[in-house]
Amino acid sequence: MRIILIILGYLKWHYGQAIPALWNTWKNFLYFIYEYFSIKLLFKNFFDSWKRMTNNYPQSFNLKEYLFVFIANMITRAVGMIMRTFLIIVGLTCYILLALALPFALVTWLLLPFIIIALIGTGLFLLIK
Amino acid sequence: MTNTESFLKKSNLYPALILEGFFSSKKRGRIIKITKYLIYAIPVIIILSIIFSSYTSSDPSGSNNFLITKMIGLAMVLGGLYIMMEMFETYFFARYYFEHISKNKYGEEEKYTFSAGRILRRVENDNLLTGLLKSQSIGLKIVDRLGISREESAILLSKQAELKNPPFFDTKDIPLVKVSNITTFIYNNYPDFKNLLTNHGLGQKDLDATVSWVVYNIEDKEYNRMWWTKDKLSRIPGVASDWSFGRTYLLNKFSRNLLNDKEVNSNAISFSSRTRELEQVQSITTRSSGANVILVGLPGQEKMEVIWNLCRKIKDRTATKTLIGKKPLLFLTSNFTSTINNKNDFENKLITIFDEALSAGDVILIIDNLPKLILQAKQFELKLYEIIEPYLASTQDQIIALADMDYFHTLIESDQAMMSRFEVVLTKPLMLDEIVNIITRESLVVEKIYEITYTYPAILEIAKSAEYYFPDGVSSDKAQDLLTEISPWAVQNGIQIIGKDEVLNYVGGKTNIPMSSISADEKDKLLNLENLLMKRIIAQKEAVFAISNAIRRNRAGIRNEKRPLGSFLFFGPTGVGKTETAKALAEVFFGDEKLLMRLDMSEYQNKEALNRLIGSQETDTQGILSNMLREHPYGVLLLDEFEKTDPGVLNLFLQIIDEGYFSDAYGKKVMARNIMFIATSNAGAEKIFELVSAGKNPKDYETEIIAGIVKDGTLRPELLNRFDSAILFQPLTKENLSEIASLMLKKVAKKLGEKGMVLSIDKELINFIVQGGYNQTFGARPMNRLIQDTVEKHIADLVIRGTLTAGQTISFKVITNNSGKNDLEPAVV
Repeated sequence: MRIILIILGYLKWHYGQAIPALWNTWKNFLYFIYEYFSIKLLFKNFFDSWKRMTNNYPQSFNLKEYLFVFIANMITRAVGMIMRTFLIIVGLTCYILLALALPFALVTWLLLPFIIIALIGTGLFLLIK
Repeated sequence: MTNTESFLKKSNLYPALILEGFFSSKKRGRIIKITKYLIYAIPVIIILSIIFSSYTSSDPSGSNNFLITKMIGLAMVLGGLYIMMEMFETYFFARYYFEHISKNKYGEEEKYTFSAGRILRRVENDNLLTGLLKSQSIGLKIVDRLGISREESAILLSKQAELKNPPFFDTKDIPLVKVSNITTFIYNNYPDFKNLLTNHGLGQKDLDATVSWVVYNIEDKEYNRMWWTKDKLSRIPGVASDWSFGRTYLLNKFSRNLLNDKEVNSNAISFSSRTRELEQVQSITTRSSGANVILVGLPGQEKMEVIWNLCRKIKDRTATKTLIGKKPLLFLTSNFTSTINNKNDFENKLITIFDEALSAGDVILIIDNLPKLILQAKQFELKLYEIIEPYLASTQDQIIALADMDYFHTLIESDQAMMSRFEVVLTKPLMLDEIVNIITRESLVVEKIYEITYTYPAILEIAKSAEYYFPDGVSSDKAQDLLTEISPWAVQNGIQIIGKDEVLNYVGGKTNIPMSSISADEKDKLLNLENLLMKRIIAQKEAVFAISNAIRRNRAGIRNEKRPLGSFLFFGPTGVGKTETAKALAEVFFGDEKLLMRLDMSEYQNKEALNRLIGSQETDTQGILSNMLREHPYGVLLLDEFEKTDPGVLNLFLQIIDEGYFSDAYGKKVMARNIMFIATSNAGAEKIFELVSAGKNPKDYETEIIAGIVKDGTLRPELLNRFDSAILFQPLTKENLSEIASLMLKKVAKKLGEKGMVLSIDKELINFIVQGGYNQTFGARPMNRLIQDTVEKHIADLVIRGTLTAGQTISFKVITNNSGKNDLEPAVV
């Protein structure tokens, strides 16, 4: 009796509230990927120099020094942009893959009780055979 | 079906509750582990058997096929089981309804929390108390923590069978039934339960706190297992979060990132305290300009607690937007100042550090000891404010400075410029409830390490003792220290369950103040205190009664804890037993005569006296009284010739006796709540002698004598009234003197007895001492001198000559010497 009650309670949840809950958990993971790769921040500071490594321009005009600082600053910006591009690509790929996996996860979830029965049933059959 | 059952079944939680009772999370966890390992083992078994059969079997493929089929079958069964258990776990977590955060995964409304359901499921016959006493997973844990033994709870449970119509628990008006609703109902409707708690000295408030503690403990464990929630995932720092911010090379040398502190990384569900200060600091640091805070509090951890809470909010991403993603760096002032060699070094390094913090763009700079930095700057004849002013004025950084209360008053408050750049947040001392809350959570960690259990009464006593018996420092810190000290002590003494008595025993041992419950022997002693004391103190009945009552009041725990242990004014002539009474008090109450501290107040007569007692900032000297009470916070303090001291000093004692503390010259509190004050005074002695010579009993004229003391301005009436009692010491009669002489001689006899010699004390000897030693002005004191000059002198001579040795008896005969005076002649047998 108690087992039936548990199984019924479980199935009610599995095909009821668990589905929006699965969607919520998925959203948590998507949020995590988005934050973990700091995607928004990377876009926002895309042209910033790498770790704020910049040189100050000379006080008095000196073309040679001015050019040197300009080039050095451009290099750190370029390094920053390359690193950010790389991380944005990796982050967005993970994000998209995770988002695409949702329908697959949903179908698996719906079939899960049957998968369990099938696994145990087939397994027992193979053991007894 | 009972009412409780039908109520339980109304909720979606019910199947999960049944599942938990039938097949607990612990068991499921074990099956998950075992199936997982077996599944890992199967491919290994297959590979090993293929290798093995290829060498040994004539038909390797046949036997292999058979084994592989069976192994795949086994793996499928185990896999099915594994997935099933994982699904039940997910179901359990999804259904788990927390009391402390009042939501489950969906945040939907429920009829009862999971913990309440666990108790209700055990209810028999709608008798709620049976549910509490039968639920192993929570109810009995509450009972244990209350310090109620299993035997007591079994007796209580057996009584419930007799109860035909148990009180009706109406759930209609309760939107969500929590454990506290159930226990409150039981407390109010089951007199047996209430009486049992009362017998243990516990009330409703204690019950609520215990329930909250136990539920917190259970839910904390469950909550920590749910790694997939948004707040848990948010705590993992991003890979590129600091790519756009500058580096702080020099600052890193002298600072640490608080996000890595263990206090910030603990997974506790909620902040336990200091939320008011936390909100203030957060709102100030969020401002677009002038986001600088100075956090002021007593020396200790309380300021850091606020900072840790703020850091947790930053890490959890629940702080305000401006603060999320920031790096809180704690600048360790001592590390910095220890590397500084000269003025330029100080200035340059400090500017670099502040520059780095500002240009990094994501740093919240927290200075752990601003006064120390100011003092260091002063040493180099620099003004700290002038160096850091541009950074304080900047709109792009946040600076939080910590300062101890006393230094804040002396160094910072008076500096207008500095104060204009900082917002001050004061940390308030925690209330007892909040300290208990912190200690209950802390105790869970300590319990795990030492494998001991604290009961709620023990926790409460730790919090109270920290406040009352250990006067210096922050109460919550002291309570935590006490908790960590008691635990190893309990393990050493083989104590597994720590109750109130164990805590009192420990604190009593540490302070010498008797505190644990009164034993039969001690009960006899306390009830016969007067007789015991009168053996030592002759003739002063009133004094003996007064101090006996004070001791009993303290021991019964009904004293006013905001005042000293006791305060007495003994007045009357010299040599009548005032000091002896103080010594006897130290011995009886604290168990050691040496715990008597003494100040001769006649030495504190001039205007400088107050400074000598409480210290002086100008001369940078510590006070004699403040040092004495800091070093010996427990004991008897004898203030000899109290009336002779300066009026300023009398005012100081007026406050001490009234409030139980005073502030020294540096503004630091000195506690005197565990001190017994005895002030002695010879005031009124002349009047007493007059009365005696007129054949009158001074006792009958006590009010007049006191009025005389007040009238001639010796002691002010408000001071006299502050003492617990002012006791008149009577001049001694001849009989009293004989008794005292006998006591003094017995002391000599005792010393001799230790060497195996016997002193024979007879009436003749006693009369000799009384007649020769008594002096009206000095009372019984000269008798002591006479004993030294006669009895002890003779004994010493005889011992040195070898005439008096162990096993022999010495007696004295009174003779008249050559100058016609009485003297003693020793005889050794």
